[in-house]
Amino acid sequence: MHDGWRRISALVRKDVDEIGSQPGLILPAVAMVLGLSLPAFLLLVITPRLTGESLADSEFAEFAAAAVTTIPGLITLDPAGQAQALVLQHFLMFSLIVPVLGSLSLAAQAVIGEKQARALEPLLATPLTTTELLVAKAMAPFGLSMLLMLASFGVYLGGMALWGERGVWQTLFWPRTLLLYGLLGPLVSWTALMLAAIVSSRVNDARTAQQLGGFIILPITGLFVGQLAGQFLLGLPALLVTALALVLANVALTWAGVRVFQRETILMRWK
Amino acid sequence: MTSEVVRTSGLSRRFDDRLAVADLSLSVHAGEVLSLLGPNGAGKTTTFRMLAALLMPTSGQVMVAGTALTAGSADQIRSHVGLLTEAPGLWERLTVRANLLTYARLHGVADDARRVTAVMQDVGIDDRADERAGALSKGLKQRVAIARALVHDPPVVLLDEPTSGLDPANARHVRDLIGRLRSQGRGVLVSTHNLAEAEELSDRIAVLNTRLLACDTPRRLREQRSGGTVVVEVEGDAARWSAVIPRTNASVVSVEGGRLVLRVASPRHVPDMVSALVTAGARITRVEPRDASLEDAYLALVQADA
Repeated sequence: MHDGWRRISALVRKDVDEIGSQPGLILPAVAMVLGLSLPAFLLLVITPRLTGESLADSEFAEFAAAAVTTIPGLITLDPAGQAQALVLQHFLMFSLIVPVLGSLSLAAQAVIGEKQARALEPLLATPLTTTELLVAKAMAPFGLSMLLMLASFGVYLGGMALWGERGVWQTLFWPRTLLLYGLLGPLVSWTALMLAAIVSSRVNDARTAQQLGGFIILPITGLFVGQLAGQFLLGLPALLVTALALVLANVALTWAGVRVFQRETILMRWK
Repeated sequence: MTSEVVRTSGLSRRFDDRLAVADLSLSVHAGEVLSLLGPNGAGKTTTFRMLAALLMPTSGQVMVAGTALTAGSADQIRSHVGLLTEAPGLWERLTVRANLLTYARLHGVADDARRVTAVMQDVGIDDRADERAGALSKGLKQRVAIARALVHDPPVVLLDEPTSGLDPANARHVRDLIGRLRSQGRGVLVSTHNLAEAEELSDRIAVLNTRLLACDTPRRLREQRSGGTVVVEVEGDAARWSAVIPRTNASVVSVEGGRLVLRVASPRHVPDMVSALVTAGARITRVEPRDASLEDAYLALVQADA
């Protein structure tokens, strides 16, 4: 293994061990996955069953029928399934909050934890480069956030397979869904990570860094609410443009992160 | 004395408009313990950080284990140096073994598990290997931090206040350990405020106050301060004989009851001074040179620089 990757993997392994030793970090993350999935099941499964009203009779069905031209996959479903699949797609956008919150809380803890333990100077006295330090500090939270996102996907998939309308679970494998989970999720997670790392260098309280989440969560929530209220759904081209914007933002944030993670800056200015 | 493992030449470091270290030139040999003494803010930690390639000098050269410090060689220098930082900085949720294994991996130590076991045995923490670092006493945490500095078997070890805040037994253990590092042939630099410890441990002592004020063996530093101070004990009140002294090549430093504390220009003037006192009628009971303590020497150096 290349020396740099060996060093990164040593630090990532350490961070995973440390995170694993803190149920106070893991349990809220799991609760968040379940909590953020609940509104979707409430709207799509539980309420129709409790009230006896089918989604086929709701206004969502009309919008789903209209959306068939832009989302051809809907045509294979019955009207209730079309409505359920359309609303599910809205909630998938909302579930991007999972990797954002996961990254923010874990990355802030990973950096601020080292500051609080006064462990940065001994770390910097090893051959570890500062870029390796930044990558290592991002990788454990990134990997765990991706696991959380996968868990969120699993909850939707399992829930829809068990309680959804016929064939709706298959819509989770539409290109749009895969783009959300496979590209936008990781990108927005990296954005959150770099922001958390940069802010963590300036503060000594993980909560302060985590509050930054608002800057990312608000646009996602706004998009979710806007889509739901306006009954539109961002199509593949719009999502690709969003992904491109995130790539550019991430390049800039990573550049800023590397600049903040300089040995002398860390030793002399990080307080 | 064997080969030189650290050499600095004209080493300086400036932070904005503050000069932290100025024109520092010193060397450390393999198997030597050099203590850095100096008041707070004298530049000791900054010097250590430059030697550990954590900070780059503003000017001057650093050579560690035959490698000159440059931006390109900093990683290599760091693999030659073991640094004990002022705070242990352990990952308290992890075990002692996990702490050390991570550092062994960061340094690319071959057979890391075996090396970690060996270094834990060296510093006497092998029986605590699987305890969480956070559960250890301050003294044991310091031992773990020292083990961490040694895990990659560096030829140069920098110890920043290694016994600060430790109880006497743990401080003794650390001092014994430093002695073993010397006998293993490592070059050891110790920063401390404990002068007795510095005197006990060190082959040489460097007194720093931004610039290097002195660097010599503890004995020579004391002798330089002693500078020919002689105590003469006489029967009765010594003050009556003080008028005799200016006629000799000596001067009165103080009179303490039956003791005259005198400064002589050279030890060869002592017999003449004693003879003059006897001729004047003094009954001398004792004549002895007075050694300055290391503290006297240190304070004199630092105060003269102030």
